[in-house]
Amino acid sequence: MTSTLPYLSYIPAHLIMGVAILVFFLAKAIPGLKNVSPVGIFVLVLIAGFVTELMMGSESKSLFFNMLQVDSYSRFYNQLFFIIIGVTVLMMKNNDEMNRSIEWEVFGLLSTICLGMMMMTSATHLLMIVVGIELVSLPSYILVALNRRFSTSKEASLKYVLFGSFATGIMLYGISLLFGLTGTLQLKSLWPALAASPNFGTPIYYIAIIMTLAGMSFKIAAVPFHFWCPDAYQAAPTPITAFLSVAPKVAGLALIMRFFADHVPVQSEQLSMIVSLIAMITMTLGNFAALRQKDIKRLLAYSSISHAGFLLMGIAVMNEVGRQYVFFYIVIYALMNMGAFMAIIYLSQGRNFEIKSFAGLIKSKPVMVVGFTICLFSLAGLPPFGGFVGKFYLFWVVIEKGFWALAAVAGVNSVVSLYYYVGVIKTMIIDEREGQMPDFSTQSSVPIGFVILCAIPIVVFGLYWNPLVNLSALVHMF
Amino acid sequence: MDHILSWVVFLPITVIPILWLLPANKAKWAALFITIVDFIVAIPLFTGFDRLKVGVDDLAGMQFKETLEWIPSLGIQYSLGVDGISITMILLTLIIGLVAVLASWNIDKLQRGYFAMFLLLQTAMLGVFVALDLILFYLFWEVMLFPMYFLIGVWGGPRRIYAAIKFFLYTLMGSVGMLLAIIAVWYYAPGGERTFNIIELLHRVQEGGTFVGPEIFGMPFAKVVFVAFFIGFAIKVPIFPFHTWLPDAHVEAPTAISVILAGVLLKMGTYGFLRINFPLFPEVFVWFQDFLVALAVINIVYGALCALAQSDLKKMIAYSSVSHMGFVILGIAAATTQGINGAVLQMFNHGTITAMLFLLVGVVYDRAHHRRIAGFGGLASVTPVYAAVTSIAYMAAIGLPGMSGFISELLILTGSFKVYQLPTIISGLGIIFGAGYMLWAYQRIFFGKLNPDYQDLKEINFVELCSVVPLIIITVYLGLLPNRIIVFFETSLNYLSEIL
Repeated sequence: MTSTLPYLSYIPAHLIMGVAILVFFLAKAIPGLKNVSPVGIFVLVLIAGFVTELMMGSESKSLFFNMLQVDSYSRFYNQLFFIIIGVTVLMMKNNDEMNRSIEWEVFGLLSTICLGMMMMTSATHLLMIVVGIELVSLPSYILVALNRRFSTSKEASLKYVLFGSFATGIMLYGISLLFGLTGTLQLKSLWPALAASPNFGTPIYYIAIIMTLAGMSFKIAAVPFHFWCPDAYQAAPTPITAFLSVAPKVAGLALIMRFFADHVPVQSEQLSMIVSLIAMITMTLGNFAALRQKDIKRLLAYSSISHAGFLLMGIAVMNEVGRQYVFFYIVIYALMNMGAFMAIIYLSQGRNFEIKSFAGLIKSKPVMVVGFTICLFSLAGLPPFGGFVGKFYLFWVVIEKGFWALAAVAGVNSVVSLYYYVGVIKTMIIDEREGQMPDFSTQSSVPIGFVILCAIPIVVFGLYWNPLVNLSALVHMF
Repeated sequence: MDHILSWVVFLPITVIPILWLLPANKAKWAALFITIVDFIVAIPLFTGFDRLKVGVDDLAGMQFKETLEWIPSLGIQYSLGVDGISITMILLTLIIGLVAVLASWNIDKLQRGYFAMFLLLQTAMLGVFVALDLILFYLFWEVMLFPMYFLIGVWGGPRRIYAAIKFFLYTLMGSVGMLLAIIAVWYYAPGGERTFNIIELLHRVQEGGTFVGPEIFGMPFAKVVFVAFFIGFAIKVPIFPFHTWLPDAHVEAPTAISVILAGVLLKMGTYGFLRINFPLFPEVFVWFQDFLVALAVINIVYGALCALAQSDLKKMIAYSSVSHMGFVILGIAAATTQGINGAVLQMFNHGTITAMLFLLVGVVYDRAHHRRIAGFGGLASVTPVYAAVTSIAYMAAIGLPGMSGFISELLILTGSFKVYQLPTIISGLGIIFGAGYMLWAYQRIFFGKLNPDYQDLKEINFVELCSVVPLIIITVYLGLLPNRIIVFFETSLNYLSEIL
């Protein structure tokens, strides 16, 4: 036991989150803590986590007998999680869909998810992967059910639980097959063993890999494990929806990249094929389903499904460059999605999420609507916005590998996606409003500032993305 | 003045923030001011332009060059420059921009937003014509889309939302293919070292380099990339069967935007053919030539027949654009010296003439609030000045000798007759039909029994005359002295016709 203790010094942020979980769940039992603001503590924890990850530098190290791997890859993603959770807290402050009296518990759940996501970015052992995924999933189920405005949120949560446990079950079965084929659960030895095994290229080989991929696909809501996504997103309190649409998805993608990172060259073609197929189906289905949505949260749910498909393009090429540009796009994706959700929270006032209800809002809240419009155009991948640059790089890595079909499908999809994003823009800017304008006078102007703060970097990165490219170039695995 | 091209391109958007400092109904003055200033700033471009420099694939021959590193990791540069083809288009864009501001004089609804979008569009259009870097080109090309979407969608006619999204989706469909083609061209650049610089790529192709890439869907690399570019540009032109967005967009757009659409936007497609698509793949172009001629003839004849069948005046002119742009394609497809020179001249002339036609439709629409050709009659007796001005514009559109349209169509037809006799003869039908629908429409609107509803129709006013008369002067002047504009692009295009 003693020999593992020094490893702890490599994961200070994990320790901080661990302590935070204890504090938040036991808070009501600890005397004197009642009078402290939970938000303040949580923000401090997030800042501490962010700073410690930042201070760790780029040293990479394998910990706990190849269970975890910390490297610049995991640290960059973890920093992103802290920022996203921080933004989620800001959203919760500006939204009243959640009960304020359970803030301690909510922050405890968010801390648990955060720890789980940090595990997901570092896990190099299949059991660690399962632990990471479950640490993220279980609190998510509860968070979805916490919406006091939306009566069916319990139902959506239950749906989420069922799908989640189903996916985990499939994944565990896949893992058991992998273990049976190779006798190991460590990714580093798993892939070479698979390639060397007599079953290489047989159906069982594919079944084992695809089943194991199922649990991860569930987290990024890739088809066919996306069914929970629209319902859960619609039912969850909006800040939680924003959070779920970005953070666990990013963690899932990071995990998939880690999972495939150790494959040996002979396998790359078939693995690329599997991931390309999932990517094509996911983006197409997500986009076409989004076309018919009338609820803005459901629309963004499907849009996030199709974005998962786009991001899988960068994973399908199975190389370091692809992984770096996935990170590049993820940063921009986080900006535009968080901006869009903040705008929704503000404009809908937490009540009416029908797209129709946004009609004519340009007249009463022009700045907010312009910011939201920039986020939406960027999501559609139009230049000169960041979303375009992200897609540009993904197209490039795919073309470099010669995956023309994937490039063509993605191209058609980005045209289709324009239609529904522009539909929202049209409603806000072109349509005339029937009836009264909602009253925004009681709302704080923090969300407006936040959306503008998202929109500015989106435009800047769309015109000059050098800094972000340089940052992504630092994201190295191992 | 240094960086004159950057100034010309970006001056329009510099006033956008100022629009919000002015009273709402003064935005148009700011827009007019900046378009005039932009014109004045651009004058040294035309006076200082060296007509003997070729450009096209020679970086040293590009004039008023500006190059800045932009994204070094990909080799993307902020690179501007003009040669004979671009300078003509810059002139056209500046003229049309000025005319379109005057045509927008009656816009009351959300005036600041309108002119903000308008000026953004102006910058994007100018940028397309001067960009020498593929990514920069693509950026300007796409940035044009959303101001256009809003200009049609917010300030357009009754079916504006449908027309706006149709325009948006069509163009984006083409440009996504173009983006993939751009990446492919960059990645498999001839000569090894990758570059986005259009001129550098053309230079390498001229030195004998070819694009060697893997087969795409079982087809040769160069052909697929060529077709991807072609569709992207063809949608803008528009070439049959990608033309269906055009009548909708034209009819629903406000007058000034129709003017810009017909005057400048359509030319971007043919400009893209000449600047990027055809010279980059000269061998594939030869393979494609016959097909292109067929498309051009379809455009000419089918567009004219559709125009003949329209009852809406604006839609008729929209289809006449399809027909006239067919001539541009025919000239380019023939790839002879006269053909290509005629094509670029036709691009300029069609820009000015069709702008005039749309302006004149706008005049009568503002007063009568409808555009049914059959709904008028005898207007010549109520509004003689308007009738006279319109007659000149219609004659120009028909291609009457002495007007600029005649010269360019003549050049194109002589150019193409050398290589494609039968298609040229069939295209002649387009001119006959053109005379038919124009004169027939004129007759139904201005002659015959006066429609009693329009007894008190107001005469064309001063602002409207200001926007139309300069275009008439240009049309007549270039009809008599076409060489005044041909000298600008002749050198570049003669060279281009050799290499195609």
